[in-house]
Amino acid sequence: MKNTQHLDIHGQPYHRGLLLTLTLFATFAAALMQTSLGTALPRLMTVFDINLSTAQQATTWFLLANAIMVPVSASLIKRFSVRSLSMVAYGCLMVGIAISAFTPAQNSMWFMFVIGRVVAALAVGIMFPLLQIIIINIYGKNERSMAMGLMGLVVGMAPALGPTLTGWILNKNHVILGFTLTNSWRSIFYLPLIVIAIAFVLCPFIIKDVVKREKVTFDWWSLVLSSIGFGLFLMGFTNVSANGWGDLSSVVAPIVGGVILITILVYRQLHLETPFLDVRVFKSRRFTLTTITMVLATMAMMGVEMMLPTYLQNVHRLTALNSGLALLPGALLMGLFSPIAGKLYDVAGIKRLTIAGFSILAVGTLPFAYIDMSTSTMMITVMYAIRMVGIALVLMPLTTEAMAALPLAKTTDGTAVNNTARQIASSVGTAVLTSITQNVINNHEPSHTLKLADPLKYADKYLQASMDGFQVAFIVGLGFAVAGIILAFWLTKKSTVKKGA
Amino acid sequence: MLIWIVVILAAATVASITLISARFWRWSISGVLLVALVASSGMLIASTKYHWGMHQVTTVEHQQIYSAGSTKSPAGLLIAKQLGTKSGRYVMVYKTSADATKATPHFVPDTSDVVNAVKVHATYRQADVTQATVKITTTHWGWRSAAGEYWLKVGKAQNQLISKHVVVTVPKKTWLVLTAAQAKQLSQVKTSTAQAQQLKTALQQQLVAYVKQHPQASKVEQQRYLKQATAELTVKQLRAALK
Repeated sequence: MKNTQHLDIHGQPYHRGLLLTLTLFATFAAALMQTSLGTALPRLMTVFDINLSTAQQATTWFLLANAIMVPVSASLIKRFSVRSLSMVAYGCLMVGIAISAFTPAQNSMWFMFVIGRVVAALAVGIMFPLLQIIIINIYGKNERSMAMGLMGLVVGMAPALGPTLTGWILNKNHVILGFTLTNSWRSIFYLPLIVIAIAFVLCPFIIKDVVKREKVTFDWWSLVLSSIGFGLFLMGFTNVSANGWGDLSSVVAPIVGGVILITILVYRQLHLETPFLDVRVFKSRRFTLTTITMVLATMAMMGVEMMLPTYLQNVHRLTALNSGLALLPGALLMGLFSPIAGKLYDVAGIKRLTIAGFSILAVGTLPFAYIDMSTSTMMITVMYAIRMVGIALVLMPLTTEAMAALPLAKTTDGTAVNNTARQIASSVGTAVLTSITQNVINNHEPSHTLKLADPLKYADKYLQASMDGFQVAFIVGLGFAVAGIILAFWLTKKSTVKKGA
Repeated sequence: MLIWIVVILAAATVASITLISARFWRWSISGVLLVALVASSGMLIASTKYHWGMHQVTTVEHQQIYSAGSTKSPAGLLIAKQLGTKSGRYVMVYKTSADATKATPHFVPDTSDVVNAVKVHATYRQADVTQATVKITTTHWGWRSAAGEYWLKVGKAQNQLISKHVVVTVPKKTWLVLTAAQAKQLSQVKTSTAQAQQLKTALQQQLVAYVKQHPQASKVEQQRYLKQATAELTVKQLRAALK
């Protein structure tokens, strides 16, 4: 076993361990990029002189670009060689991170920051599935679990650590190995940038073509339709914060246009021989129901997760680091409970597990619906952890259940649809919630005459306005949880899990 | 404590829904646990948001304060600056002890903690009193009982301040309340020898009049009168100088 030579598809030998290490290393940088901005939002809001809703675009457009890449990545991996695809992905991530990192700090340049995020997201969208496929191809069935475990650790833990790491960076200047890492927001990008640059340089030497190529047809029209369709849809919801729900040109038109394009996209999928995204899987009632429930859990998670760091920093005056630490137990518990959730799913079936998960999600969200300026940080940390456990209990099992609802041949399509749905839900869900929040904040904002007359009262009223906004977002989050409990009663009692698949 | 009970109940609820296989026992036990979970969360919210188990505690503090100006000047000085144009909140400069060398600003709002800063109202009044004082009335939330605190307290109690009202009272006749600009202006005004002479004569006349009115007044009483009169006249003179 020790001396086994691993050969790639061209018959050339390669080092399996190095290949895995490099891909994991690069994917870690990518995974960090997903959540690391959470605790940096207040800083970005000050530096770029933007409001909460505009700042959230760094997240929402990232998630959307990611969502659009999900169906694309499968065929890219089939069509192109692993090595060149890795090179392109790493390069793309490097460029994206660099664009954001070096955006001039002024209001008019914010779009450049967001473009950097989108470019990075495109790369991240390829790297996750690529890593998975590489592992499946270079390790046999019996050796896979260890590698998959490592991947789970990287993909699962990096997003959990991201906000705290950012907080640590923003906290003060750090001296590492003689280099000073300043507490500037730009530093958030330097670590992943260095990691990915190293990976990019090493890539041609270490990464070999380990996956067999197939000839696949790729429907470009679907890609265009989905990008523009979902893009318009998201843009419409993002503009709500600035222009209100009734604005025809910036809100209603993009949303309607987006819906029309998405409808055309769905219609096209139903008539293509090899669809880009096989929406026919929704014909299974069980698949549809579980996917909707999973979408609810995702939106409930994102909605609160994206608001809390800003609340903790602006209202409780916590540092970015402490706001990250306050949410860390929740993030870690979520990772810890994912495997437990799998066990419970086998024992109790999806219905009972979902009822249990959404129940504690709802109870954990309850205090957030009553949040005010004096809610203690401890309470937030504990309740957030309860929520995250609730979400961990349902998220992966619902995905497993959705797959179980489909015939084996449809699993790949099902996975793509399921992942796309989850990513789009995160993106649009966050955008909608932020828009609602920002809208409430704008409407409750005190008049500027008060700023002159009583600056303290003005500052207080201003905070109160953001409190009202946060509260609305949390109440909507509670609504998602309650809706989830109700939907859970229609789920299958005890699923027929395919054994030995 | 209650918050940990919520955590335990949440764990127990999940366990009972997923692990008890007998249908009847599962739903009856889970039902009870769920009700207890919601009830304890409700109590937690009642406590943190609506101050259940707490009451308002008010403390009043009195303190003498000393002039922001030179100790040699017979007139007392209070420098006050309003925050904004109509807030009624003032930052005031005075000394907290007679032998303090430097006057310090008080009630400067902590802009990093607006939530609490806005609860502070500091103002001044000029009244017919002999001593300058500060009265601080603080109201905050306190626990009704130790048991309440044990069960309901979550972490460090935050923002428990309800209000803090500060009133600085200065003698109308012997103290001057100035803005920072006025204080600066005054420091540049030089009293001419003529003015000083004028003050001296006026004081002499007043003392004579006082002794006439109160023939039994002791030396000490006379001295006290003189001090008061000096302060009053100095204040008048300074007021005139500011015009």
